[in-house]
This record gives sequence, C-alpha cells and structure tokens, in this order.
Amino acid sequence: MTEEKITRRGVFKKLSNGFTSAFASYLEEKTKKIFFRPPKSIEEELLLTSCKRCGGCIEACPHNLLTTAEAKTGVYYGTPILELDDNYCRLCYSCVDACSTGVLKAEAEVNLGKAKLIKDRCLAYQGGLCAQCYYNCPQQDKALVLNSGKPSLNSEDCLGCGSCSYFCPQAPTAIKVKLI
Amino acid sequence: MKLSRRDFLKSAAAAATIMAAGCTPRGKRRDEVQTVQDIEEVDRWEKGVCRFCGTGCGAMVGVKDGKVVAVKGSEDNPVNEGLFCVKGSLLPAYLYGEDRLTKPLIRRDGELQEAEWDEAMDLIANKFEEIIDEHGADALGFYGSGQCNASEAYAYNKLYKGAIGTNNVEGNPRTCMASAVGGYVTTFGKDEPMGIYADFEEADVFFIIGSNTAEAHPVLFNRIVKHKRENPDVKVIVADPRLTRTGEIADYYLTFKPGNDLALMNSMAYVIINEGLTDEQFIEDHTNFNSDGEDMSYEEFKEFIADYAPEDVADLVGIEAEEIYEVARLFADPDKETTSLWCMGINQRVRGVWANNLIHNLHLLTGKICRPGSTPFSLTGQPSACGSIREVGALSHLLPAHRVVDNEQHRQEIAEIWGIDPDRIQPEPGLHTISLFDATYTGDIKALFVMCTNPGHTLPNLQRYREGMERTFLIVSDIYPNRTTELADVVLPAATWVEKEGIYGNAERRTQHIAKAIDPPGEAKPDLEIVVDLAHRLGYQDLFPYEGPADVWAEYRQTTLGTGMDLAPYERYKQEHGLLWPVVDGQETKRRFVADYDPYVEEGVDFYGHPDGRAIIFARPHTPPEEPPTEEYPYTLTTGRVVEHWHTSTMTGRIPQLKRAFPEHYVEVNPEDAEKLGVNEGDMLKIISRRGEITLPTKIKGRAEPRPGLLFVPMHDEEKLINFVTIDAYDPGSKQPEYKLCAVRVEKA
Repeated sequence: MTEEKITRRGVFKKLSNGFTSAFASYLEEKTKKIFFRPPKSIEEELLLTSCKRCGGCIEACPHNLLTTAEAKTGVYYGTPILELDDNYCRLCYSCVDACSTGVLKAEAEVNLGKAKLIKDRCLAYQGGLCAQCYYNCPQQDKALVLNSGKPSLNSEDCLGCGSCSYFCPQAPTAIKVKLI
Repeated sequence: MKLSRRDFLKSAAAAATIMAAGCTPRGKRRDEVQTVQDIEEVDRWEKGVCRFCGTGCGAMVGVKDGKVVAVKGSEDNPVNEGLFCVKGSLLPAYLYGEDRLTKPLIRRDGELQEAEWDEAMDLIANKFEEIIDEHGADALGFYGSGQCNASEAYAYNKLYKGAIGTNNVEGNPRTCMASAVGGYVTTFGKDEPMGIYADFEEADVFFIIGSNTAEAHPVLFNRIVKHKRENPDVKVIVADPRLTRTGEIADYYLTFKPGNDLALMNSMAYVIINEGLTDEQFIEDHTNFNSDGEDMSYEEFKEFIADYAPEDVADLVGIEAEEIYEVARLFADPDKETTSLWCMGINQRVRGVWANNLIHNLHLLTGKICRPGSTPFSLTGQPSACGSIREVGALSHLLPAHRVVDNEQHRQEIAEIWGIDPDRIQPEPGLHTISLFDATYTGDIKALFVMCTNPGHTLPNLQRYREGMERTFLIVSDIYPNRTTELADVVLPAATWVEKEGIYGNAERRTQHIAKAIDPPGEAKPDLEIVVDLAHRLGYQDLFPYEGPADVWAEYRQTTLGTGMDLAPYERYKQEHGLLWPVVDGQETKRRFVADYDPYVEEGVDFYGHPDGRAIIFARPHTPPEEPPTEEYPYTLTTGRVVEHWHTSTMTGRIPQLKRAFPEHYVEVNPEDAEKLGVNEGDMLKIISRRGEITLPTKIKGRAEPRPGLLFVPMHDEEKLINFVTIDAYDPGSKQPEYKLCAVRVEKA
C-alpha cells in the first residue's frame, strides 16, 4: 500500500483548485488512519480531537502492545498505537476499561483491520497440514473457515486482531492484517 | 533503502513495543528459518523420514551449502503422499539451535566442563569396569529410545545383554507402548498390528479411544477426515473424557468418566453378544476364551459379560446407556468394516494391557479383523518405537525379532548370531523402567547410560527419580542441554536425524531408510559410533566389528529371518519408500494372519502366534485407576500433547515458530469447575497431588474441554514439569506407568 506523500508543493497545487476544497482535502489527508488503533476505538477524526493523550490505555494493556505516537507525527502525537508486527491483540479490552474520554468505548465495534491471506505462501495450499490461523482465530468458523483443510477469510467477520498472522508458521507470514 | 516518514515512525514504534515486550523483532527471527517456499534454491534432495511422531511420514530433505534448508512431505510415500503437518514442515530449524551440544562434557567440581572424546569415553569405560568388578554387571543400566535408529538400538542391546551380561536395557517405549505390546502378545501371540494405514480408506466405522489423533497424529487424522469427507456414510466414534479437536469429525462423542473405559468396552461387548451381533463362525473357528490364565468356555464368557449391561454401568461410565447401545451396534454392524485406533489413553494405565485386550475382544467377537478396513490398530508416538525397540528387542525382557530373554531357545538363537556363549545372556528379565530408575535411587544401579531421551523430564513421580539420577553415575548422549543433561556426569554430543544414516520402523510395520544429508555439527557423533567405541574400549572388538549401520543391519536381519518379522536387505530400504514386514521372497506383507497376504498363512485366518492358531478373547473385569478421586483429592489430572510440540520440546522448543505458537503451558479446566473454583481464564491455579505440585494459568476456553472433574495439562514444558505431580503406579503386566490418571486437589494461587 503506497500513500501519497504530502508535500508543500502538493498543498500549494491543491490551493490553486480552490482554497476550501484544498483545505478539506488537506485536513482529510492529515487525519487519515495510518496506525493500528486499540480495539473499540471511535472514528479516527474524532479520536484525534477527543483523545486526552493521558496514556491510560497504554499502561492498561497487559501485553504491552500499545505505544504512543511520537511528537514528529504531528496531529497523531500522544495518541495510542497498537503494534501488531510481532504480536496480536487478545481483545481483553483492558484499554477500553481504562479510557476516561470515550475514545475507546464498550459499544464501539472492534475493527482493527482486516486479515489478508497470501495463498501462495500458505502451507495449507502447498500440501502442509497447518491450520494454526484457524485454530487461533477468535472468530473461528466465521472470519476464518477451513475448506478441505485450507483456510479462507470472510472479511466482514474479521476483527483484525492479528492472531492469525502471529501464529502463522511461514516466513514471512502468509496472512497479514491490513489497515482499512 | 529510503525510509519514508511512515516507515520510520513504524519502525520507531515497533522498536519501542518490542523493547517493552522484551523480544527480538519478528522479521529477523523469521528470516533465519527457511521453509517450503525455498525449495527451488536447494542443491539436492535426500530421502528420509520425519523425526517426530510414529506415523513415519516420508520426508524429502533439501540441502544447500551443507545445511538443511527445507523439508517437504514425500509425494510417493504411501504414508503421507506429500502431506506434512506443521511440525514436520518446520523440521530444519531444530538442527540449528544456538545451544547445540558439540563437545563432550564431564562434570568437574559440580560443573559440566568441555572435554575430549577420548577422555570422556575412557572415563565411562573405566567406571564401567570398576563397577562390574565391584558390584557385578547388574549394577549397570541403559535407557534408550524409540527415536534411536534400529542399528543403534541393536548395538546397545547387544553390548549390554550379550557382552557385558546384564538385561538392564530399557527405553522410553516402556512408558509409551508397552501395554500395546502386552495386548497384541497376549491376544494374538505376536506383537504389532496386523493391519496398515491403508485400512483407514477401507473402513466404514472408526472407533477412536484414548487418542487425540488430530493433534498427536495430524497426517493420519487428515487421512480419516478426507476419507469421511469423500464418503459421508463413514461414521466416527470418539471416546475420550476430554472433548478434543479429534471430536470435530465425531458422529458419536463419548466423554466418559476417566478411568472407566474397561467397563465401557465390556459393556459394548455385552450389547454385541446380547443382540446377536457376533460373528459366531469366526468365534468358533479362530478364538479361545480365557480368564486370568485359565481357559473358559464361550458360555462362561457370556456369564462374565452379563455384569456389564449398559443400564448397569451407565452411572459408573458417566454416559447414557443408550449411547453405549448405539456405538456397540454401529461397531458391530455386519455390513460395515470397523477400524479401532488408540494410543496413550489406553496404554498409560495400571490395566493398560487389559484395556488393549478389550479392544481386540470387540474385533474378535464381530470377526472384524484381518480384512480390509477392519483392524485393531495401535497408534505409536515415536518414530521408531516399533522399528528400534519392539522389533530389535531393546527392553529388559526382550531379544531381537520379538524374542524374549526367558526362553532358552530364543537365547540360543540370538547367542549364535551374536557369536557368544548362550549362558552369557541372563535368563531373567532385567529391571523395567520404573524399577531401573528406582534402583538409581536405592543405589543398586551404579551407572546409567541414557541415549536420545529425557527421563529427567518424563518419568512420573519425578522427584524421586531425579534424585536417583543425581546419585548414580549418569551418562547422557543427546543434542541439546535438557532436564536430564543437567543431572549428568558425562554428556556426549550426538548427531541427529539426517546428520547420520539410519533406519526407522513406524506404527504400521513399515521399515524406512533415512539417508545422511549433512555432517553433524562440531564434534557430535552418531550414537552407533558411540556405542561401538564404548564396546571396543571395554574389550569387545570381536563382537562389534561394524563399519556402519549397514553392517549392523546385515547381522540384525539374520535374527529376523523365518520369525514372521522378516526384514529385507539394507539396499532395498535405500531404494524404496519403506517396506512392510514380514518381507518374504522380496515381497512385503500388507495384512498379517490371513492367507493371500501373509506368506506364513496357507489358508484363511491363522493367528500363528499361538500354537493352535487361535486368538484369545479375555474376560478382563473392570478395574479403576490406581488413584481415583477422593474427598481430599477430588479432581483427576490427565496429561497429553498439543500439535505444536513434541515430547519434551527439546526439538520443537528450538523452532521459533512453534515456540511462539505455543509459548506457555496451562491447565485446562471445565467451565463448570472453573465457576465452582472461582477462577477465570489466566488465573493461576496450583495443582497438588500426593507427590508434588505445580502452578499454571487456567485455560477455560482452550482448544479442548475436559469433562467436569478432569484437568488437563500438556506435557511438553521444560520449565514447569507436570511429572512432579503424576503417579508412578504401573501395569503389573506391561510395567507401563499410569501417566493418564492421578488424583489432585487445586487451589487458587
């Protein structure tokens, strides 16, 4: 996934199309979701405006999966980031319980991202008997189903917790959570 | 590489998280391990067998620059036809753990310190000679493994029983399949299954008891799943007090009360007899009845079994009487072929042999045996427990090719091939595993050689036997430091798997060759070289003239010819994907005890292991476990495997992907019990038996669910050893300990 890099020139170019639309588009770009967020987060734009940056959720995570966006990240600075690269979210919601601002709220949907399967790396598609992703999926038989021993994904039920990716024995992993 | 702002942020965040979590980045670890996708890059492929369970999957081993870089299922091997389980797929990494033993170690001033081979071997040989002079040969013991190659087991068996002159040769198959041996030998007069894996594809009904096939034997389970998917009428009965992944394909799941399987199977026999589902002609022609060593009549057997009406045992067994009726009728349906599969749940019991007999009874009463799809098939846990221990005779009561030490003719036959005086082989069995390790504690065993196994982790009631191992002069040959090497006086670095050439024999009588693919690391040596070296230092050069495994095989093969366990010349195994013994006139044997398949049978069915050619249906009364639950110890503890790990995880624990997939052991608790105990997922629970205790996190919604009153703990953890808790009571016949059941109480920790 490549992203458009926001440059000074780009902003000026957009300015020439009309200041208002350019500013809106600039704002949209500026508040785009570029990090995995804790489970049950509200919309990114609202999160950026409502999060007190208190670090409560970060301290609450029993698995040390949450970290803070650094100062260099501008508007994101201080907000919680969920790091899924070498781990997965247990969906314990300790972070949600710790949130005092309603940025993480119990009623919100879990929508961390969506898993994507790369079949030609998957052991099961190469004659191996592996179903580690399936057996470790909290949405087993919904988000991840096994057909004749081979896993396949139903995106709408995927919570994006990353456990499939974490437990995948392939190097590099054959299943990966993408931001949406 | 140009770092975008986002990449930079991501990596910074990742570094922060990873540092917080105290682990190394995943990418780096993963790059160290190559798997299947690198297959185009290898220099050559060598033919072998998987190193893990007893299934015996054919493995193709990819080598590049002298390193094993890939492994894949061998497509033309009939066992797995290209399939491989997740453990097998990740095999290469186990060879390259950072702490691989590459130099001999000798304990000096309490510490294991590096030494030269000569020094270590001289120390062992001198110690042995001293002990023999002072205390006699029976003060020495050997504890081998179902993971040794056949030639290695043959050599150490011969060294101890034929040269040194003690029968104190044991091995871990005693703790794993001795009861299955006892079952086959008592019922049929000959050890090992008559059927093969190909029976699975011919079966209409599977009766799986005491086996979590899905996790312990994934490739075999997949064969059953595939067969059932293609033939929807195929029915699967699973009987296990714990609802496991194997239950995913079960049509009937009997979660009976632990320890009551003898009553369950007798009750099935009752239904089969009472409802006229027997094969009377088969019973008449091919069976005898026996109770406690005494012949009995069919009528007397019917009287015995009358106590086991489903209504009368339902409470004891803990399932509905109707369920017993249904599964017994399905098992015995005259239009169906029925295959039974079992493993440690049946074998690791104080009446494991009896439990095995009762499975055979069901097949004999219904005549569902010795024909395609109908067979009582014992699954095995180690890659060569059959090929290297049962067949080679490397237990304290055995001699090669299913012979026994307390038979004069057997001793003479073996002595002749070994080139020794028959009197040199002692006529009495040596110490069995538990008594052998007990003798290290009491001081009767002065030196014990442990090869390719980890009793410091695996023996039940571990505290006593670990103390014993510390007291005795302990020699360990292995590939990594483990819970036994930490007790050793001498540690020898061994070569493993494809670092040497060898032969494995799997659960279906298939003997397979493993080619040497790479050199062992550092100064590590094949166990065969270690045994032959020791023999030479003890002065037995003439008895051990072997240059390599092929020479040993040629001699070993002599012991098998004409016995019904005939093996083929070494060269054939190098060429082919295994051969099913007996191999007679160059032909393998797909099915034993039946004409047209078995060259030892002229007509029909002939259980030639017994002189009259008849198998025995045994009246075996229900017997509870050694330690049923009590008020003080109200729970039953059972142990077992998970798919990600194997045995003591000395190999799988060095495969990063498997370690991460199952990093922490736990105790599985039934949700009802969890509520009663007031524990939630992850709460620490202390499990206390009369022997020891262990504290583990609670698992309520795990991969399996024990029935109320039962707790399950996986057995692989190297740190928290569940065997401090398990019981060392053993079957009086097979001497196999009752790992599967002991009474415990639990406390919130």
